[in-house]
Amino acid sequence: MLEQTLMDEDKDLLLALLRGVSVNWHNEDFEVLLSYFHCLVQKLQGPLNPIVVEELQSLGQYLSQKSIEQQKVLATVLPFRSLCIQTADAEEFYPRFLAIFLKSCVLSKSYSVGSRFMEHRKLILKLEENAVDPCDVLLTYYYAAVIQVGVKDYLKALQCLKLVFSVPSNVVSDLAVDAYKKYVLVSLIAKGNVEPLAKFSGLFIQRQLKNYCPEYLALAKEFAQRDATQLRQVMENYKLVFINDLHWGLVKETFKALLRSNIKNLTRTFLTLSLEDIATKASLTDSKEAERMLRSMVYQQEISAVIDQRAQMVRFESKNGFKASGKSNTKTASAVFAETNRCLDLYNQLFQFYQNLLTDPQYMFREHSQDGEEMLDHSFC
Amino acid sequence: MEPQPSSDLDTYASRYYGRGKILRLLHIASHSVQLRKEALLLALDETKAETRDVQLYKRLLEKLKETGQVSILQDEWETTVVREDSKEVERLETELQRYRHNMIKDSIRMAYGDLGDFQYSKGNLEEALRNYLKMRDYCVSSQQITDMCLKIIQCAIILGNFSLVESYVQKAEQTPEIANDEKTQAKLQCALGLALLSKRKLKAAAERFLQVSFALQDSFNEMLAPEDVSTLGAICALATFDRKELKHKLLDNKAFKEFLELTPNVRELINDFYFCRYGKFFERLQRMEPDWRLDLYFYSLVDTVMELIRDKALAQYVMPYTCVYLDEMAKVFCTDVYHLQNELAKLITSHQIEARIDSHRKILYAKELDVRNTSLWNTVSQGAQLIDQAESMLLHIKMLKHRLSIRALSATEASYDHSNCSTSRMDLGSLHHGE
Repeated sequence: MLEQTLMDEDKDLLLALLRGVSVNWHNEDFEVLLSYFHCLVQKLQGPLNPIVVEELQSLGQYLSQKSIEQQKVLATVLPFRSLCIQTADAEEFYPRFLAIFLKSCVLSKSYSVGSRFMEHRKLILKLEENAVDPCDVLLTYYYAAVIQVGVKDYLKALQCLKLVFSVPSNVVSDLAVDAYKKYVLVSLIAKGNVEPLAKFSGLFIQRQLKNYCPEYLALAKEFAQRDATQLRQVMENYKLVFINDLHWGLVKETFKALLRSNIKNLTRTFLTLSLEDIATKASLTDSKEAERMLRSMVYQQEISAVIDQRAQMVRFESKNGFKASGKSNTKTASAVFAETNRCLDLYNQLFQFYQNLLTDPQYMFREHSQDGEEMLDHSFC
Repeated sequence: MEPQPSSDLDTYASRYYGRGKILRLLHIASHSVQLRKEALLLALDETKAETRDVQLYKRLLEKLKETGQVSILQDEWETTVVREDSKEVERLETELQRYRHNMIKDSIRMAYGDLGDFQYSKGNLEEALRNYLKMRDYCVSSQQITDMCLKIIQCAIILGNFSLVESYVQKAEQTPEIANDEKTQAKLQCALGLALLSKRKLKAAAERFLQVSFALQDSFNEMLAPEDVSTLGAICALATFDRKELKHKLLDNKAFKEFLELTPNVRELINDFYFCRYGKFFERLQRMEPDWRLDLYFYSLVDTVMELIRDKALAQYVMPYTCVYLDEMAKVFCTDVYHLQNELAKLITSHQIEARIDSHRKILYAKELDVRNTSLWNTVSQGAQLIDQAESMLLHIKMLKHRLSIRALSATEASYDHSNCSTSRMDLGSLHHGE
């Protein structure tokens, strides 16, 4: 019956009906409701009527909560993914839909689904609608960051976390505090230091956030000293805090990042070095661990090195010649190309923003009223 | 290891006088067990000769007793000084009151100055400084301002209040007639140099000392002897100047050459460094180090300066080579290959040397820089940073445009008190499941 009715043109009414039904729906029928919802979503085509969007938002929120209660979050990933895609208006997503989709990806640990979704699309949010809740924007970028951390793409995670702090705010929320803790750790892993927040994040936020996470800042301070033993000591001192925050995994990654960074520094300093010296200089337990670490870094093309097991020596340079640090000319060229593309995308966004501004009645009114005032001043002169 | 000076203590102490000399001798007494007794005896003599500081005298006697010097007995000096002091302070205060009553500006200024000098000699330095500061309201001419500033500067140096030194040097330098008074200018440069040293600004301090005119002679000997100006200026310059600056500001500085003539060892040290005679240079440096460790104003900087000088020497040594044998280099720098390798690694990490070490064959190879690739990478990373910032800013502006912001009290959030700060709370319980 529902299937048939969905073919009808009057979707607004059907949505309202579906929501009404869902309130009295039995728990065991959740999957059926979800399949109807998926079916409905697939038939949607933007741009949508604001009332439909509102209904879909309430419905999505309801399903998301139900799925958590019934521990069936994984089943919601694809329907919510379709919801985001089908409701997108000129590549702009509704923040609520994106937030619940990314949340379901995080809760069901389907990081790769979320990551693939973000890989092919830009997370440009549709903010024009009156019904937009700023918390959804915050949550969208927060979940996006968690997903990127899940797939170990720390640079992208860092950018998402920066966007969390770009949301205008005059209070410190738990989410912002948690995001800042992640920001410190991810920043250390990806960049080797804690990058300062953007100036427009607000001094209030920047100052306040630091008061909530002294343990993380202590970790960052020790990381800057590049001493793995001391860093491990700090980790052990605050282990309980990190575990309670559910950041212990990231903290361990931070430690590994320091070891890797120390080894990378050695590749820039030495041409040849014994495994034993590498272990000493990079604060590793012994030459075996040094060998294991080097092997993994070579496999992942982080460094270019050859290991002579007989002489227990390592030579830090590729056979092809250039740069043990991995910055080859080809790699540079591809990086330049990728960044150029990002620049072009950004230019398009800015241009779009500019065009919207020019047609904004409030802006036009202000511009004209200023002219009027100036003319009035001149006339008085 | 305990520092041993190259010259005898009498010769060293004869360069200074007054409270500055006593402080220096006390510093030596506390840093060298071997020179402790001699330094304390000299300090005691100077206290009796140049001050009226009974407390210091008693303290010195106690310290001398600790060293086993029992032959010194408390003499008449103490009782005489105490008797005279009570009369003198009464006289000075009465005079001041009289001048204040008569409103004779110049006399009031002088009376404050005399009272300050008296307190200074008694060792009441805070009180002395207060009196000197009161002189400020009664100074009329440039000369009077300069004199007042110099008194305050001297007192502040003894007290270790170097921010006051800096501000009064600036005040004195602003007086119109200072340009004609070379000696005062030299004193001010010395005082500022010491203030900068205390802030560990070695390069700025070096530049100040190098500007000191030889007209200083022994006029500032309470704080700094001309030999100190030469040593501090040259060593700080050696540690912080590049080759070009060293040649231009130090070696070609005719005015400073006169100071260098007073310290031939320092002059030769500079020449050895500049002409790359590293063996002799380090030998001389090691001979001079104990003297610096006993210097009141320089001892805390010796390790930093030695490290900076050594780093510069290492960087200068490898500059002309495409490859260097570490064995030979270690001999020149009086160290072993292992330590040299560590030192070089540190310099490479801090980008002071562009090279890589072949640890197996013990050779240092100069790095071939791919300037094009490096600058492209720098451009890319700068560009990426800018794009990130622009994206964040765009989101921020868009949200502001649509009046969207997180507020303390909104429909979806419940406000609660969090560390005495009103915050909005979101349910993060569910968020954490995902990690």
